[in-house]
Amino acid sequence: MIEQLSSIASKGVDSISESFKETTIKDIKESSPLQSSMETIENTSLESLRTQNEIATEKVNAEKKIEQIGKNREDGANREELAHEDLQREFPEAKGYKIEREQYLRDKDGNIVKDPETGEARRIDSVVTKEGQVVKSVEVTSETAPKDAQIAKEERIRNEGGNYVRDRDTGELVVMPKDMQTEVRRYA
Amino acid sequence: MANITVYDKVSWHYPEGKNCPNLEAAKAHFKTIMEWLKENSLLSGEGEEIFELGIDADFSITSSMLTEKGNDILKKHYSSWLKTVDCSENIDLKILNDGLREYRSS
Repeated sequence: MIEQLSSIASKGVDSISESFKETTIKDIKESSPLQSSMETIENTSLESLRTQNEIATEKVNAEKKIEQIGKNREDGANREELAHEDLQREFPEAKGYKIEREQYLRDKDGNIVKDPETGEARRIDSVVTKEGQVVKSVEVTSETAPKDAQIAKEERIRNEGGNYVRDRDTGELVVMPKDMQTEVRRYA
Repeated sequence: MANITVYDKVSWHYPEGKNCPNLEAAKAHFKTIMEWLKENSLLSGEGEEIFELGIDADFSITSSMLTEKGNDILKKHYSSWLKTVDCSENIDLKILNDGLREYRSS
C-alpha cells in the first residue's frame, strides 16, 4: 500500500489531475442515457428558439415592408404637393393658368399614344395650360430616382404624334408645343 | 381648375420609394385594385380607358378614374387597405370588400 501511494506521489500532482479529468470525461460519455437526454433537450430547445427567432424576424421584416409602402406613398404625395404649390405660385389661376395633374399624351384625335418601343403610354405629373396650349410640363420625383427612361419614352411618343392632353373640365384637347420639353423637378 | 386627388402612384414606390425591389413589385397592388375596381363597376370612363392600357411605370390611381362610389370607398379605406399590402402578389382585399358591402348597405 505504501509502495502504491509512493508510486502515485512520484507521478506528481499534475499527472494525477490529468488522470482524474480523463476518468470523469470517460464516465460522462459512458452515461449515455442522461447525456443523450440532455443533448436532445438542448438541441430541441435551440432548434425551437432558432425557428421562433426566424418567424419573428420574418414577421418584423414583413411589417417593415408594409409600413414602408405607406411611407413611400406619403413621401410621394408630399413631393407632389410641394411641386403643386410651387406651380400655383409660378402660374396663378388668376392670370388664366390651369394646372392639370396626371395627364396622358394623346394624338390629335384624343387617343392615348403608346410608345412604339415599350408599348407603354406616358402620363405626365403636371401640365400647366393657358388659352388652349400647354405652357409647362413637369415631372416630379425624388432627389435620386432616375428619370431618363421616362423622358426618352416621352420623346418617342411625341414623335408619334402624342402632342396633346385633354382638359378635364371642357373635354377639349390642348396642344403641347413641339419644342416643349418636360422639366424634371426633384424634391426631398 | 380640375382638382383631382392622386390616391397612389407606381413611381412613388419604385424607383422613388424604399424597400421595393423592382417595378414589377411596385405594380402588384395596383393590378389587384384596378381589377377589383373594374369588377365592381367603380371605374369612370377615364378609368375604363386607362384600365385597358394596363399598369406601367407611369400609372397612378386618381379620383378622375373613379365613379362617385369608387371615390367614397377609396377615400375611406385606401390607406387602411395599403397597410395590409407588401410588395408581393399575395394581396388581401378584405378591407375593400368590407368597405364596399358597408357602402351598399348604407
